[in-house]
Amino acid sequence: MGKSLLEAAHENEIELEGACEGSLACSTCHVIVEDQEYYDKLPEPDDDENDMLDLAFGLTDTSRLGCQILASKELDGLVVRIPSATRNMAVDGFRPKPH
Amino acid sequence: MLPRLASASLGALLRPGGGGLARTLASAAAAAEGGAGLQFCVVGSGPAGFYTADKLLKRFGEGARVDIVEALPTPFGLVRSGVAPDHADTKNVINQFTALAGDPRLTFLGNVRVGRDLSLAELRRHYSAVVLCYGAESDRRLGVPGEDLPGVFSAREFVWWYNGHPEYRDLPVDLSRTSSVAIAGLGNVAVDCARILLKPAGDMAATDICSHAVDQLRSSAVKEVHLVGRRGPVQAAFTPKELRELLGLQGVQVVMDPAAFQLTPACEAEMAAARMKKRVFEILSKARAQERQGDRSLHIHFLRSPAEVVEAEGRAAGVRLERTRLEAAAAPGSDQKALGTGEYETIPADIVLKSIGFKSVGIPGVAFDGRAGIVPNKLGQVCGEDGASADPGLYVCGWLKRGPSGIIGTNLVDAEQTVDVMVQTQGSFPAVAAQPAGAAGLRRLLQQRGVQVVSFADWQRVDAEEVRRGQALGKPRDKLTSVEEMLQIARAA
Repeated sequence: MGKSLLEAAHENEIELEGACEGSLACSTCHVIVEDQEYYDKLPEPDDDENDMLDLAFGLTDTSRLGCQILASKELDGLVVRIPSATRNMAVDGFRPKPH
Repeated sequence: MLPRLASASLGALLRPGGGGLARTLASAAAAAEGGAGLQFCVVGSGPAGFYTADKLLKRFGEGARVDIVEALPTPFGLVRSGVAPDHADTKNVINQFTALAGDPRLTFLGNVRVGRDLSLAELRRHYSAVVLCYGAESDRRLGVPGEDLPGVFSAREFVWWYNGHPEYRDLPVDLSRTSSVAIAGLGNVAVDCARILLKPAGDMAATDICSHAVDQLRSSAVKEVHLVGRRGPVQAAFTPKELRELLGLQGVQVVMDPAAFQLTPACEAEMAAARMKKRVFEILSKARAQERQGDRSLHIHFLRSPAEVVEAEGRAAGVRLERTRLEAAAAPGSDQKALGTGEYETIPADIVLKSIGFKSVGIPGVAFDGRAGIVPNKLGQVCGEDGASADPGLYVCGWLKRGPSGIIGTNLVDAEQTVDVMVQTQGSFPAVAAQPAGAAGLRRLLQQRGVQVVSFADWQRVDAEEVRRGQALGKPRDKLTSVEEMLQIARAA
C-alpha cells in the first residue's frame, strides 16, 4: 500500500495542507525532515517533486512533500516539521489499520 | 496477498503542541478570549479569501462568523479565471474551499461588488473586522508607443478571455487572422499564454477552457509565438515545471539566441544561490541543444526590451525590440539591471500580449499605494488613509497586500500572517454599528438596492449546469460566461 504522509496526516486529523490533493501540482504539504539520517533513507525526489519544492515556503536541505513520503518499515520513527508555523508531528511506526 | 508493508499504515502521534491538538487548544483558547460573537467579512473569494476565512474560523473559535463577499456570481477568483485550463490538478484546491463553504459559520455572498453595490464604509458597519482579499484586476503598463493599439492586450485580459471571466468574454481576439503573437514578459503567465496558443486545439478542447476560445484555437493561424524578456535566462521568472512543459510541446520548434547563454560572473553567482534558477537554465540549455521539427515555432528573446508596438493599417503588426545588456547591481544582493544598447530589431506580431505583471486597484475608503499597487499595511493590518499606523478593523491579504506574485500556496502563509495579526490586535476591533450585523444586515441592504445575492447553494446550481453542459462536449465543464445567465440559474431555486 505505501500510504503517504499526507494521507496519514489527514486520517489522523493533523493539519497538513494538501491543496492539490497529492497530484504534485502544489507545495502546500511541504514538510521538513528533522533528522538527516531519515532524510537519506527516502528515495530521491524526482523532477516533478523538485519543481514543486522549489516553490515551497521555507525550503531547507531536508525538505520533502508530504504526499511523496510513503510509509515503509525503515521510516519508523520519522519526525517531520511543518514549516509554516511551529507545529511538529511525529510518526511513530506504522500501525495496521483495518482494510 | 499484499506485501508485508501493505498491512502497515502510518500512525501519526502528536508531540505536545503539534497539529490537531494545537488546533483544538487554539480554538478553546480563542473562545475563552472572547472570540465568540465576532463577525468577519472577507472581500474576495480567491485563494487569499478562502484561506483567510479558513484561518479566521480556526483561530477565533466556534462563535465566530465569516462572510465572504464576491463581485462575481462565481467563487474562487484566479483558481477559476487564472489557472490554466490544462492544469486541472492545480484546481483541486476548489474541493477544499467547497468543503469549507459547507461550514455553517461561513456565508458566501456572490454578485456583490464593494464600491458598486455598497461602499466599503457601509460594509464595515456590519462587521467587527473586514479583510480585503480582492486581488489585482488591472495591469502594469509597458509605457511604450503603440501600447494601446488594437491587437494589444494584457496577458490578464487574454487569460480571463479563454477562462471565461464575464467581463472579458468579448475580448476582440481573432486567431484566424493571427500568424504571430508576441508576449512581453518571461513569467508563468506568459508561458501559459504561449502554451495555450501553441498546443494542439484538440488537446485544449478536452479541458475546461471556454468554448469560444476552443472555436478560436481550432481556426487559429498562429505559427509563431515570441516571448520577450529584458533580462537573461538566469533572471527569467518562469518556473521549471511550466518551462519544461512549454519546451516539450509536440510539433513546436524552439528558437533562442545562443549569445544570451554566455553568462556574466554575476549571473553565475545568481544561479549558484538559487537551485531553481540553475534548474531553469539547465532546461533551457537542454532545449537549445535539441533539434526539433514542427510547423509552429516558439522564439524566446532574452536581453530584449520592447521599445514600441509597430502599427500597420491601424492595428498592431510587430514589436520593435531594443537589445539590452546586464549591468551588475551596485549593492550586493540586488538585481542586475537591463540597460539599452541602442541596437534595435523588429519581430512580427498581429497580437501583442503584455505579461509584465498584474496590478491591484484601490477602492474609496481605504489607503492605497498607487505606485506599488498595494494597500499599505503592516503584516496585514491596513494603515490609515491619513497615514496613521492602523485603520482599526481593516486588514488585507493576498496580492492586494504583497503584490502580484507567488502561487496558490503562498496565500496560505500570507493568510496565517494576517490572521495572526488579527488575533493580536482584536482589542482594537470597532463595535459593530449596524443591526442586524453581518450577512443578515447586508442582505437587507442589498435587497433594498435590488442586488441579487448569489449564495453558495446558488453557485452550486450554476456549477452543476456547467458540468452538465461540459459532459455533452467531453469537457469537465463548459463555463457560463454571462452574469445574466448565471443569475437566472441562481434564481431558479
